[in-house]
Amino acid sequence: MTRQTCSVRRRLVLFAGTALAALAISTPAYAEGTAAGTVITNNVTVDYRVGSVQQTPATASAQVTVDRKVNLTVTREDTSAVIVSPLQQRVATTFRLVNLSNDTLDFVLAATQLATGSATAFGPGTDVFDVADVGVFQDTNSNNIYDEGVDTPVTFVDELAADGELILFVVANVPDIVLATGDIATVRLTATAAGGGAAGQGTVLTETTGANTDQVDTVFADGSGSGDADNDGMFGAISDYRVSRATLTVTKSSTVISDPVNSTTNPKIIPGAIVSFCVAISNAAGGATASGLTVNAQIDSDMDFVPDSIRLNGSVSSGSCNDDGTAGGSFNAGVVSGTLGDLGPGNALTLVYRAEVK
Amino acid sequence: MTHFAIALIARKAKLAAYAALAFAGFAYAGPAFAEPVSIASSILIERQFTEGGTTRSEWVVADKVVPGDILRFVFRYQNHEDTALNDFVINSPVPEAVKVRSIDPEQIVSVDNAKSFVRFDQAIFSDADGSTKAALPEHITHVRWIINSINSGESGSVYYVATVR
Repeated sequence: MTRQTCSVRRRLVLFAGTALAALAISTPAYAEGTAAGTVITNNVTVDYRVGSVQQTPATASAQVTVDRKVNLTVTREDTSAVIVSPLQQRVATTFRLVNLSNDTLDFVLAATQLATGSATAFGPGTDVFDVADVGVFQDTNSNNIYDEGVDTPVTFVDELAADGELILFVVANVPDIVLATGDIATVRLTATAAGGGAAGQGTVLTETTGANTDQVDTVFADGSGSGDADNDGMFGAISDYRVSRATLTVTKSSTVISDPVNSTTNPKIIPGAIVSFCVAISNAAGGATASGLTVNAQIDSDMDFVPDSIRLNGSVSSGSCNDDGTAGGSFNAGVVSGTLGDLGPGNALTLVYRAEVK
Repeated sequence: MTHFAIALIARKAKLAAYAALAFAGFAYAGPAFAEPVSIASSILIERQFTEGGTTRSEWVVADKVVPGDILRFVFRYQNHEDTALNDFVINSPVPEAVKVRSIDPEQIVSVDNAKSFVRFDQAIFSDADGSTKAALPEHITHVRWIINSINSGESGSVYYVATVR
């Protein structure tokens, strides 16, 4: 007699409501072995003779019931920190829960934040801030991606079969606080085994101490993840949110181009002089790309805007603005406006315009 | 490794026509009948006991059993007749939920659901695809002991060790 041990990854069907229901497919053996409640019967038959006379066979049997062996893991699916920008909303870290027990169980879910200074999942460095509005969500459309408005919130997993597994998300908002590139907030998802077999969340399981009972007893055989111990019916895993922001520096400079008397040789700021103004925006290295940069510059009341003089996306060399931008932008009611292209970290872009001294 | 423990107890017994003599196993506490042959079946588990700083293991009646546990399936017999019993053949199917962990090479077993019984060290296991190989303990489906003769009053026990799947 051979027994095939199969580990089958199941697709799960979701039902409405806050509970996640699992569809179980039966296989002969599970990760933690024989199903809880199975009765092991030891039968024996004895044939014998007295002298030459064959006797009626004698039989005997004994029984023992297989109890519930609880084992589970929660692991993170993220292979690196989830990069976030300040104020970003509904950002998800992704986890996988696996029921390794020999029984169908419920699992109570909890998402918690690690304290400042705690070790992080990916580093570098330690936890320095907390995210806000943290919740646990199920992968309702089973696409391994958190979809706002489609994936629904859960407080527990309902009826996850032996060897069943599923994806869960911890979703949070980046709070409106001062953050620097590299700041990490670490979150932990913990699953706690509870009784299956009925609608709604089962009672959290406790190990059956003392002598065996007539019911199916419970033995904890789980390992330790993050924030939990061996054989406690719980398992936790952590993942990181890491900030990447654009840190911009804005510099405005000006150069006299020409005046009516000296032309372009050592021009002075006298009425009729043409002055070139440069608004340079630089993005600190190592951060995030800034996009949608809109520059607005007020023309001084002593000057007149030189029409068609706006140049966008010029470069900066050794602190000086180069005359290599492209025409664009607009002038309205004394304000020069222009939108620059995406500005990557470690780069600079300029908006340049000219005005004449009245 | 011997499976038999001999103890001498003299008992008067009678032959009777019983379709089957069923006794409660040791897993449930219950008395055995005083019949011509008494046999009893029990399931034991190895438990660790710590006393005075030292840990020893003992085989006790199985209570909490979970996958991975190592069990002993024990069969005790006693001859209550005033004559010897001959060709005493004990047959036991290995329950589905366990697999034999280790066995004597000379133990009589079946690896084909009782179609044939051979010594374990000669047993050949046929896979579903028809390929054959030397049988492993986990392939054993039935275990058999043959005792040529049990004298009046003699008793003994046999067992095998299995793991809960």
